Amino acid sequence: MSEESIQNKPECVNVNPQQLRQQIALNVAYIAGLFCLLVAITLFISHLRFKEYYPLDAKGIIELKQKLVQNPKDESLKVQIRKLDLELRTEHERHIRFVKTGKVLLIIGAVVFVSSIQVAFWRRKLCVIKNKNQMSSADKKFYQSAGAVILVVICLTSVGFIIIRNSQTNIPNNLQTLAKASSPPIEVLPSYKEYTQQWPRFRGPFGDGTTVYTNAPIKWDSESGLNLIWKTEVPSNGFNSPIVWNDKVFLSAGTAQKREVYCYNASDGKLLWQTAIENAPGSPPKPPDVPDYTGFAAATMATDGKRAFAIFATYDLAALSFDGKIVWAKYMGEPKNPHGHATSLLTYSNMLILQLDQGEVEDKLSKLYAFDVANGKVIWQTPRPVSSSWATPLVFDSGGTMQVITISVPYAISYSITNGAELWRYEGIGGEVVCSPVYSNGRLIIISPSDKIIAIDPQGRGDITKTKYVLWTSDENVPDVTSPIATKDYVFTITTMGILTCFNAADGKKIWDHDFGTDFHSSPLLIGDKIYLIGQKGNVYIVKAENKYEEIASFKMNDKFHASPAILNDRLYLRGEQFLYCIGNKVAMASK
Amino acid sequence: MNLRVKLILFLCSGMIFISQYVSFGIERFPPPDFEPGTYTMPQATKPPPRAHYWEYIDMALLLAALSLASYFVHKKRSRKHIFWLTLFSIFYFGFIRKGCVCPIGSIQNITLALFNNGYLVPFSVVFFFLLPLIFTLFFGRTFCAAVCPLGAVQDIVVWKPIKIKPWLENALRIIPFVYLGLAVLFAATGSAFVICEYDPFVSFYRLGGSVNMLALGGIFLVVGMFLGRPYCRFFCPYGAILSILSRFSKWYVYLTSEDCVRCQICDVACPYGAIASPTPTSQENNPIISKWSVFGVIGLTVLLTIGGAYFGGKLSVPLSKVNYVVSLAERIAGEESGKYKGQTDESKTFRERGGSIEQLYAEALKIRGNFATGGSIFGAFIGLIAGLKLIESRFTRQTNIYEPDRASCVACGRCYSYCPREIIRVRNLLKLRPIQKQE
Repeated sequence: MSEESIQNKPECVNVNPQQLRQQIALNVAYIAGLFCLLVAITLFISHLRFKEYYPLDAKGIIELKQKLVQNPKDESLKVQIRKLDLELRTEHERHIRFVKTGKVLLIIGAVVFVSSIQVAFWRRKLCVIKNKNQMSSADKKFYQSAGAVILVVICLTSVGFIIIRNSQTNIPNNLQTLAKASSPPIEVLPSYKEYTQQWPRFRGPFGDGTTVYTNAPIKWDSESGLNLIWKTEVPSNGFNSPIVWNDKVFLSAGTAQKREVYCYNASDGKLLWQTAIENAPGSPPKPPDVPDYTGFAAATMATDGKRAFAIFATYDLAALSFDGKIVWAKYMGEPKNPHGHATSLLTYSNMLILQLDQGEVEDKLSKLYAFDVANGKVIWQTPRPVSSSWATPLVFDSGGTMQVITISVPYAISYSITNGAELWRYEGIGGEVVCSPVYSNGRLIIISPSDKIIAIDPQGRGDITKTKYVLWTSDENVPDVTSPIATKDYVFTITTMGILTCFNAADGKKIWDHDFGTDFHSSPLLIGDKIYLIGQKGNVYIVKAENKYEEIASFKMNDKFHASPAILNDRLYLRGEQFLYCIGNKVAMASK
Repeated sequence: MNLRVKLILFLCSGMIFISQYVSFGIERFPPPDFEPGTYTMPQATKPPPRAHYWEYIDMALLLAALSLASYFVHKKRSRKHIFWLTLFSIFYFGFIRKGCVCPIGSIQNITLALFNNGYLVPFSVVFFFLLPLIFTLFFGRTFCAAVCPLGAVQDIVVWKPIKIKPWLENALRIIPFVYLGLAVLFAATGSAFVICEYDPFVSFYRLGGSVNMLALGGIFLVVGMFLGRPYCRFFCPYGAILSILSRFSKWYVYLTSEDCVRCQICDVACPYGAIASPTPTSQENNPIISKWSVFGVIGLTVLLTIGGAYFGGKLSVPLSKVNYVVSLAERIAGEESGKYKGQTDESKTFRERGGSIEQLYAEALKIRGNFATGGSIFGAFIGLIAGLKLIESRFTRQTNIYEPDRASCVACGRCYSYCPREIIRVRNLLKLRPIQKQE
């Protein structure tokens, strides 16, 4: 090679293989990093859009579903919902596949990026340090370090102060404040005497069809107006009996679409208000299926003189003020009652008592509740080893102990009213329990439907089934729907088929019976020494409560009756399928 | 009996003490025997439960990995071997085990077991908690070097690490102790496992998670490219414990201390600021200032501890809201007083179940009382740590060479690759061709 050619030869750059490798690796790292960044941004944007297509939360489908709840039979709406749901789910699936692909790409990109970095910087050449022999003295290091530590402590303390300042507590901080906060001022409820003068629950203040009033009319005619104070139309979809407190008559009615409480003026029958019971917390939008023969409003209301309480077959329980506002409402869970709920409510002192028997014994669903009338809080609740039932419990004073007796299959169980503790039980109840117990003169009369009537001394404790506390049983003319009347000497029952029977209260022996030949669903009412009976087809019978059958009056009303009568101030309140009647002695009214 | 032995005995007795809370679980309610191929049990938990024998495999692998890491760091002194072990840890302890149980999160399990009689911790969790501590006492932070999956993933993404001033780094290393204190406090009160909840890398290892957690992990990795191991240095609560124990380790990472030429290459090579620079004696050498500074730091430590205790107790209200019962009570109380409108699912469920509000308040106040006590201890602990850092900075060991700091060195081995004296020493040891001195 000539010198000239050597001189003209282009300069060859000495390429260091390590540097070349590092440069290539670095470039690959940049590309991979950029790739990862783009994939991450794409996934993030996709995530932001994802919420629009989430099948459960998408705005459009929620609106359509809400419309469907209002119009459950709208088929075109259902088709729309299904179509939109399918579109959303398809999009959702597509998004999930997209994210999976993105993840895989991101992982590949990250692996390439990390590998490239490691290759690029493996034993890389380091920069030469200038002034490398300059060292800081110990004191300088100390001051710097101490200053930094103090600064960090100040920062942490400041953050702590800000957190403390912005964090207030709502919880009352001491037990006394707690006690005050949780116990509102004690409400003064009506006295016992006032309570007994009202008709505050099913079958009256004593729950046994008796009353302090003695002077109701023995004849009336809703067509001619004889002794008819007023009559007013009522909704027919409710078998519950009216309750009365002073000048207000309460009853409830319900269908699958709507459940309502009605309040009428006791003086003139005008509707004062009607309030729908809806949106009880937890109550589902779709009500359960309830047979028509029970309906949604079979349970009679109750009142404590300040509030009116109602329960429906949906298991919505509500308390309303006397001006119609809902004070509190509860949903008692999904009903598991084959015939629908019919057990009525009652109050005692500041407690609302609810017997909620459901399912079979082994389901262990049945309970007895005592709620605070003011706010619905549970004062006590007791599980019950019984199956579904429809009878109403009874509170009575047994020798100084206030008991609440309940009847279901297979037991009649009595509890202490103060804390729900079981006192005694009787085993031997069968069938479908509808008849409610009564108490008179130290004897509790309970009915095993179409089976037997049992008289019990409630002083016993524990299982009294085969003890002396079971006074007598009778299997004659045992009712299956209506509840009995018990006086000091006699027990009167009326069967569904219309057989009125008088028993000796002391030993259960039948004294007499009489067949009216017509059906009865409403329970009898004892006013003074007269028993008032209202048949399903409107037949009214008034008989003497004596040891022989003596009819005082009989006539027919042009309506059908399932509800039991109420009485207040010598006025009868009768709920028919069409009308609510107020029957009173007009002459006596005029003279007052 | 020297301090290291005492610490080892303490750890072993701790293991025996904790073992009473250890449960050896058996499946009480095994699933029905389905015909093969007729039914696939759905995955109910994430990660899904593993067969029992895997626990033993995990423990064995942890022991093996720690042993290997210690060997590579102290005997082999090879960055390459440490790196490959790091990759294995990412693969197995990260992706295969999906980052759970890890020694970092096990702090909470152990704490809860100590404070709650009803909580039993599996033996494998105790093993995962104690074994790295024991290894640290002997070999330094070899767990952090190549075994911890969180540290491992941060280690491989280091690109162009920037240097933080040592005094700043020293001060910021209080934060892991704050995190440790809070994690222990929340675990002891049964409130939350915050270390697991806020593990930034678990969503990567499980290849899924909320966007927030993925973003957090991404941020840590991106920051980790420029600030080596940010989670390990400034957040890891387990690292806070290891940084204390590693000061007493029998063997530790060192370079050629006898003939350091102070080229500073190791300091530049270390991406984690773990090389302590030389500290000559003070130029001023004023005994009065020295004496007052000693009293000052000791007095400040006492003040910080007491102040921390007081302040920590005041944090009971905000800290206790992490607890479910307290937060429910706050919500209910707010609804009762009208501060909040409407109900949450939790408050609605509570009311519908007929729960007693007074009982809820009482329980919440009791838990808050526990937080007040725990908060005071936490505050005192942080004050003490801050004070000890002041004391440590006052009594810095004076030296004229560059050497790895025992507390903060994570034994990654990078300095081995760069220290020229180390390279010569290793080559001579391995009888390799000596490096020719260039004229």
